[in-house]
Amino acid sequence: MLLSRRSFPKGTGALSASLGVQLPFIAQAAAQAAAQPAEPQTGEHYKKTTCVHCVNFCGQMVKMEGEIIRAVYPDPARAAVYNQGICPKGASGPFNTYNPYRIKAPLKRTNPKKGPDEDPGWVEISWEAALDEVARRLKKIRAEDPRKLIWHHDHGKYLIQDDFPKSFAKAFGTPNVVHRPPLARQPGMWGMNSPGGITSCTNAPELVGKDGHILKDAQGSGIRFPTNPSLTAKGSSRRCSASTGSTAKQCAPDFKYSPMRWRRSRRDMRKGLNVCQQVAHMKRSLTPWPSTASKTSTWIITASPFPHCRARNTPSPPPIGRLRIIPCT
Amino acid sequence: MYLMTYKRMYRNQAGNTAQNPILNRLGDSDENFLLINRATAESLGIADDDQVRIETRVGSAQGKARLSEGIRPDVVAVSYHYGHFSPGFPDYAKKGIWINPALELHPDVISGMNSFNDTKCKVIKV
Repeated sequence: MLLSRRSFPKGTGALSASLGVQLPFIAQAAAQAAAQPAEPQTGEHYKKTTCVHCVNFCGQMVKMEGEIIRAVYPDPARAAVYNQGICPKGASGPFNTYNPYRIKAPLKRTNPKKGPDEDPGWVEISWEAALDEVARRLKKIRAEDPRKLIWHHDHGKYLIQDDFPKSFAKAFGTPNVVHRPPLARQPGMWGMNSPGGITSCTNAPELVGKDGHILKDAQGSGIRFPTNPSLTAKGSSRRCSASTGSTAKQCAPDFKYSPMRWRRSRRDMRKGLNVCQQVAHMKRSLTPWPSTASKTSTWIITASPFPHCRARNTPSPPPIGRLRIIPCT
Repeated sequence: MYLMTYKRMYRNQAGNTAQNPILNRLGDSDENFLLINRATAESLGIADDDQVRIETRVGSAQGKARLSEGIRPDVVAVSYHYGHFSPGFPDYAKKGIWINPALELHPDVISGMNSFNDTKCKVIKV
């Protein structure tokens, strides 16, 4: 299958329409791509762009001469939004772009052995061969069980949101779209020891197992401590519920939007307690998040309710206690 | 002592800035180091640029020491981004400390936050 830079946005638009999913950012990008003049600009001119070296995504103004990048400057129009300047990584971006060793074609591993001392034996292959290989593997997954596909994306979400992953996953037939930062990184943004940021949708085999492996050990209930309810709690609940047919519920210690609650939660944290005891201490700070599947308020907690703390395919631990949470709407 | 990690502005999280000649010529930006409090270092007989080994319960790493008053006496810090070992990189892009082998893996039971900043370690002058 061959996709050109212009046919891809068109196909994306058709996918969006067929799924009934809004893709505003991709649609905008497609419209802009279609509106670009066919002939490249000549002479000295400036183009606005965005640095992708980190999640700050600073606004950049790139000095061009024809199609050649001459220099990268901060965009004064966006100085108040981003930094007043750009860091050395962004300013030296042309030296990455024009690095003679920059990889511009797909590489395929030929050495099956893995390890720090193993040469992967990368071999350059064509884009057609790479896409065929990816398509072959995706077809195999889809034929076996589409839920085995976990779309796990990273920083790009801040640029394009997650509309495209959601659309692709929906078309593929998997409910498992995972975005890392709300799961693991957000606690770091307010202090490394802060509670929050946990969900249980990171371990694919456990998540998508036909027997509802993750939630089975909690007998139909899941417990999570998401830091950002809008990004994590609601989404992960729906994903897990959809993938396993269980009745996952969750609570959201909503530290982010309430400094008072945040301080109270910190005070309530106790070292040396198991999860059940910790939750009991934190109960005053818990904000029940509306469940999409169940009204029950009894949560069964296991010793390791967080599957990414367990090795893959290890037996699920038995429940260690029950906690009744009174919804405080 | 506690071993913590951080990031420097001369490299991004992946390795694609390791060969950028501008970034590699900004002072000491082509390699990282073990940041250690000056008083602590002096008590251990460690001076700037001395080779030190960081030993933890799970592994070790070795590299240059950098003395500073800007870090707690009971904490040492090593940045990420450095010490690449990919055979595709030239030697100058592999300089510095790869700290991951020395970091313990015990995510916090409540937050899930990984142990980026709470590994206990010993620092030994090589």
